[in-house]
Amino acid sequence: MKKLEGIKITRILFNAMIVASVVVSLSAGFKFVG
Amino acid sequence: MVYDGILIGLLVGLIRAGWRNGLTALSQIQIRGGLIFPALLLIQFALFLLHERIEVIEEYSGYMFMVIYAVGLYVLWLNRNEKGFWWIFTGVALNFLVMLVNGGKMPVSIEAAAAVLSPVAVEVLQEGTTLSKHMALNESTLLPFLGDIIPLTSPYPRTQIISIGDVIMNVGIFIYLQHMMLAYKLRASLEQ
Repeated sequence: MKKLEGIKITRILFNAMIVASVVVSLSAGFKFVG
Repeated sequence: MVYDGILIGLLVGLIRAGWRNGLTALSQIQIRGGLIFPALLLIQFALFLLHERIEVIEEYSGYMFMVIYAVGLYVLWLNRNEKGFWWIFTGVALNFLVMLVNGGKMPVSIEAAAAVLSPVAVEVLQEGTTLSKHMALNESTLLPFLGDIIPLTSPYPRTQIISIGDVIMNVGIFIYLQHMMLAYKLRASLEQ
């Protein structure tokens, strides 16, 4: 597993994805894509 | 605004805590039931992709979004002891409430949409022809002040309309990221 000075990069990315999905999945802003 | 609280929270957190402390803290995050959130996101994508093929999705999409939000609220509740999660919970609860009393859809101000979006977008919103968790706000809308009524546009880098709940959610995620990174920095400095 790749590490950045001992920090697991995959773990950082995984956790960032989880944190982002908390807000993205439950926000209700309107943005038109079309 | 959907993810600006995260981006700003990460940036400010990394500056305040230092990139090494910040990234280490990020690698140690533990959110109870955290995998449920990307799953909820995937379910919403699936609803958008499949609604033309499966009629029942179009018919009951409002209920489905309500179930998604209810599950999300439950998982947020499980994490209520995490700093900032009460804000996120409150923001989602406000969005959930206004959607619940309006048939499972988020009302969007036509005036706000007309101010920042294209005429096509406003037309689509008014007709409600595409599957979405949004609908046009009108005179019969309940709790309209909790709907998408805040237009964002230039100089703001994104053009969209957000709700009070969205703002509160983003404040919550900002607080969470700041606390998580700075608490790690403090622990690390005490250990040295």
